[in-house]
Order: sequence, then C-alpha cells, then structure tokens
Amino acid sequence: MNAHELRGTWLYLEFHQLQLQHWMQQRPNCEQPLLIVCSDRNKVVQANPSARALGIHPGLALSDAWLLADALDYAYWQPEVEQRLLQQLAERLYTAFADLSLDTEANGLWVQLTTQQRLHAQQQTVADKVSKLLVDTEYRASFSSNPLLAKLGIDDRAEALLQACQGYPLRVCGLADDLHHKLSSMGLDTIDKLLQIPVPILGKKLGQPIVDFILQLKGQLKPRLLIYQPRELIYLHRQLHAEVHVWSGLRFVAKSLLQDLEQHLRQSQQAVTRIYLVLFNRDFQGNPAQMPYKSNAFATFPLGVECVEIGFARAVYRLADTYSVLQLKLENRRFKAPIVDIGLYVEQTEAFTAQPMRLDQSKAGEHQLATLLNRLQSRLGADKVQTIHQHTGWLPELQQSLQPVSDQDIGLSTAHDSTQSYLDWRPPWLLSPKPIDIRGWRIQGQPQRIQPPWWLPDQSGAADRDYLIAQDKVGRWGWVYFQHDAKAQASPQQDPGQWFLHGWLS
Amino acid sequence: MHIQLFEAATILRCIIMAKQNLVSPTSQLLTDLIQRGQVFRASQSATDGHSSAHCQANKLSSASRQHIATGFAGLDHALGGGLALGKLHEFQRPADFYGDSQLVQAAVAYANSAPVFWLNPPAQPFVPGLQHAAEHYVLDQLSDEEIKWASSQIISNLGHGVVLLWHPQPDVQTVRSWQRAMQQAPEALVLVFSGLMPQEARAYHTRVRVRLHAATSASSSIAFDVLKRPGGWPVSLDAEKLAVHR
Repeated sequence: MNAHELRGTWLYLEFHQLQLQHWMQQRPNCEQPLLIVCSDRNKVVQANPSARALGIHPGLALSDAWLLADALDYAYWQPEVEQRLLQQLAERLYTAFADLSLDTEANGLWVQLTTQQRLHAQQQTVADKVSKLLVDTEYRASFSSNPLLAKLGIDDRAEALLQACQGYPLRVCGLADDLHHKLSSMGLDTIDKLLQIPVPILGKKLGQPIVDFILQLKGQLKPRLLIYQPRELIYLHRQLHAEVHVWSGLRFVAKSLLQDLEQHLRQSQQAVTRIYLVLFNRDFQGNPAQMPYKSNAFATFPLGVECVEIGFARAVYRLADTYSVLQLKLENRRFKAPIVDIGLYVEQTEAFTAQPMRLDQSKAGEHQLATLLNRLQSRLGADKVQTIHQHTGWLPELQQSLQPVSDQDIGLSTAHDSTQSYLDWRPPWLLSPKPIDIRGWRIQGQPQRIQPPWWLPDQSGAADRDYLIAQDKVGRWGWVYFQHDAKAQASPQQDPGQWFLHGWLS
Repeated sequence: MHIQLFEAATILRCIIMAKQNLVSPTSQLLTDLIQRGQVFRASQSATDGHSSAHCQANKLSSASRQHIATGFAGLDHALGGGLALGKLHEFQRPADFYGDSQLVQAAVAYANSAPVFWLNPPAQPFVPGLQHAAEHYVLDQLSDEEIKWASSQIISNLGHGVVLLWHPQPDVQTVRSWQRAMQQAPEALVLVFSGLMPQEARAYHTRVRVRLHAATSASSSIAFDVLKRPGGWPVSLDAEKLAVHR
C-alpha cells in the first residue's frame, strides 16, 4: 500500500474488556477466574481467559458462573471507570494521532487517517504504531472508508460495499430493537439484503433512522463524532544519578524541574493551581517516563511510587512561588525508600490572567497575600486555612460556612448588609447550637422569632426559634434561643422545646 | 512585677556601675537579667545619638504612631489613644468572651476590607454580626508549634491587616517570635487573647488584664488592669459598661 491509499481511511479501535483488563493489570500473576458483573441484572459482562476456559462467557448469570467455578472473583461493572480508562487510552494515542474521536457507547476510538498520511505512510506502520502504544491493552482494530463501516469491521476499500457486506448480520449493527424487529419481519437480516432495497421505500416504511443508517454505511452521512480534546498535561521527568534518602538531595533536581515548568508555562501563558511531585523509589518496576498515563489513578499508584500533591491558593507559574511551597511541603518528609527517579506532573493548567488592581491594596500586596496563603496551606494543610463564604439561608448556621481558601477567595471581602433592620441583628460569634439550662441565664429584651420558610414541608422537622440575648452567671452575653417542638406549637403551654446557646456577643 | 528584692538590688547596682563606666552592657550579670526578661535593652535614639531608656523611646514615638480606638474610653485614654499599630497587644481574660467582641469589632473596623486572620478563635466569627467588611481567613485547630510558626509568618508578611490570635498560655519564646515578626509589620494590628498569665515579663507593647464585674444589673460592666503600657505605670481602670449591640 502507498500513502495515497490511506486517504479517506478510518481506523476503529474497540476495547471490549477495559475494566477487566485494568483489574488484571493490578493482579499480574492471578490465575483465578475474574469477572465483571452488571450489578442490576447480576450477569457476567466481562470474563478473563481463566473464566472463559471454564465455560463462563458474557451474558451468563452470576449464579451459573458460581456453579462452574469455585474460586472466582468478581467486581461490578462501572461505566465511569471505563470512560476514564478510554480517556487514558486516547491520551496515549494522541501522542501519535491527532484526529481522534471517542465512541463512549461501545468503548471505542475512531482515528481519522487522512490527516496522518505524511506521518504514517502505510497501513502497516499505523498498525505497528498503535500496537506499540497499546502494548498492554487488548483491542480490535479495523480499517475502512467511513466511521460506521470501520466500527462494524467491514473493509470496503478493496471491493464494492455490497460484496464487502455480504452476509453481515444486522443484529450486531446496534440498531434499535423495534427497528431490528421490523427488518426481521420483512426478511431483512443482513446488510447486503438491506442495501438492495431502494432507500426511499425503506424510509417510507421504517422512517428516518434506517435512512440515516444506510447513508452512513455508504459514507454519504457522517455520524456525530465526539472529537477527543486532550487535557493540558505536563509531565517532566528526571533520572537521579544516585539514590536519594532525604529531601535535601532532591532540591537541585526539583528546582530544575520547576524551572522547566516555569519556562513551559511562561511560553504558553498558563498557570497552575496544583502540581504533583512523583517520586519513584527502587521498588518501582515500570518506566517512570510513562507515568502520565496513570495520571487519573493516583489512588492506585503501583508499588514504589510516592505522589506529593502541592496545591496553591492562587494560580502560579514562577519558580520562586512554586519552589518555596514545595520546600515547605517536603522539608520534613520521610521517604519510604531511597528515591531513584523524580517526575513533575501537572494535570490541568489555566490561562494566566492579570488580576484587576484594587484601589485600597496594591497588586504586589495581593500577590504577597497569595504567597502567604500558599505557604500556610502547604505547611498546615489546605483544610486548616479557611475563609468564610456567605450563603442565603433561613437559619443563622446556614448563612455562612468555612471553606478552604481558593484562588477566587483572595481579595474578596465579606460584610453584612448594612441596610438590614435591627430585626436581622446577629452576634459576632456563632457556635454550634449547645443545649443549656436557661435557669442559669438572665434574659434581656424581646425575642426575635425565626420561622421556617413556608415552602418547607411539615415533615422536615423545622420548628420556630425564639432568639434572645441573655447573661450568664458571670455576666457574659450570649445569644440563646428556644426551639419550639414542631408538633406542640398548637399548645405553647405544653411545649417541651429546648433552650440552646448559639452565639456570644460580649 | 515580681522581681525579688535581691534582683532589684542587682539591677540598681548594675545601673549605677554602668553610669560610672564600671560595667560593660554585655557583662554576664546583665546578660542573665536580659535573658530572664527582667531588663529591657536600651535603644539608640535616632535624633541625638545618645542611648535612652526603652520606655522613653516608646514615649517619644507614640505621639506620632497611629492608634486604633477600642471603644472603651478609659482604656483608650490610658493607652494614649488606643492600640498602637505595629505593636503587640495582649489581653488576658479569665475565660473567652470577656470583652473579646468589642475589641474584635474595633480591629475589623480598622481592617477596612483588608485581610483579618483569626488564629484559633474560640468560636466561628459570624460575618452577619461583624459591623465592617474584611477579608476573613480562619486558621483553626492549630497546635502550639503550628500557631507559633503560622502567626510569625502571617505577621511578618501581612503588611496592612489584622491578626487576632487566641493562645491560652504563650511562652516567652513564642511572644519573642511575634515581637520579632512585628518589626516587619508597621501597619499591622495584632491582638493576642490569652488566659490569665503570671506576671513575668513578655515582649508585649501593652498588656491588659480584663475583669468582668459581677452581673448584678441589667447591663454588665467590664474593668481593665493595664499591666504594661508605653510611657506609663501600670494602672487599674474603673469599670466601663460593656456595649452590647442590639
């Protein structure tokens, strides 16, 4: 074949056991029958070779599988896991093929080869490249002149479509059940029989779906393809010349990685809010240069890999910003084993935008604040450095929450609404409601009643609250409330409600 | 101050010997006293080049330094107008919420939309109850070591802003680390809320002990013992009515 023959060619790659393969890769020497089972019907959807050897095939009920194998292991099918794995496979292929589309319904990928003619001159070179990239993955590859035929595994490039489709059953073409039933009742069970009927007649009898299907078979209608968009992945890697036991031995290399990162980000006008430092120790068996492919599976990193996540309160790109935070994060860290390789991984970048200048605070001051918050979060943990977010809620405890500081929070001041009336008065301190014995308190002033909004159902258990200020035995002022019993509001004299302390104002 | 008679006599002897150039300021005796926090090192006056007592230097500079009113008239008067910026202020209370709120409101008012750092607050600051806008950052559940590190970082990098810090018993080293950090924060307002502390020396600018008068009337009152202040002797102030905004 020459380059000319790849023009208009589509490659379809089908991955029919993605979840099972991923599971098997985590248990490399396992001889046990492994199954992936659909949770709602308890039927086998994927089976490994050991299971197939025992006669367990997809479609078999799990109870029947237990009869055939004593020591089988199974996991439930998770479509989201397969989607994630499909994305990872697309990431791998994207290094060689730019024009990819995802088939999320059937766990497949389309590769448009017309645009790749200069890179991959022959079909065999394409096949070799794919097999190299998907070395640890089972797949089925088929070439054809249009996406649907490639998916069905029908190659019509060397012969006429009618001959190529000879005897191909319609039941495996993914048609809707009712349409397939109608076609069967008309005696149409293969594609070649279908193609011999004039399209207008079929359209009149069976509607638009069958017309679309035929036009797609003939390549006259292109199906809607989900074009693969690569994520902004950055992976930088360095091999160490000697085993490193402590952080001080990694400083130079880490600085060099961060310098490369700064250069990359500066060129692309991007910034990062999170980076991962991947440390490979001598127990790691794989190739550290390929770690980005495992990016989504940090939780299941293989043996010999330590991953350090470093978050920034504000998007950064400069070495000075990233290195100081990295230093804080790692200076007291003890490695599980000596480090032999180091990688720096960035999952997502964002466009670097200049922050608007504030009148009361210089940009330099704001940058200094962001750096300070980064440093605090790195040393203390993101959860210990929080900011206050205000909400709309009918209860005081719903009107604000503490959340870890993020980039968007810096420079945002919060305040109460100065136009609110005295009825909306609140104390400066809020507690989680704490039951109290009101006999130890001296109540002052008039109560302020907070009622559940009318749209809350009675079953919600929400009840009226009467808020008061009260003095405790030593003279401190508290914000207390009486919580009425939701069921006893009809007769207040017998209300068995409870008093709570909810805040302080002294 | 609980300086024993012997130590007081030693200090006096040192001063006399220093005046007569018989002892060097770096002698062992003085060094020991300075390390124990019982003597402050004299500072150099920028104007005339002669050394002057620490309190004198403070007295001279306090006139030009900005002060933040606490809302307690007697306390503000005793402190020369309120809490000085760029200085460390300690409030000792027998328990939380003994006048904390009014001091906090005054500090947030000074922030004027600038950052306010709350370190180990005794409860959640409630924005609908704070009377002025600010950027609030809450650092909670910090250990003693963490609070020492975090507060020093915040104070020295804050610029214009407020640090409100709750620590039951800060030790000498912790207070000194804050004081060192304060030298880089001339526009920061830093309030330390502690428990009742022994009266040994600490590197605070002002130290105030809060007393809450027994709640015999409808409105409770609050009194202050100023244990340390710039340019003045310790003083006990009359009780003031505790403002409860409603």
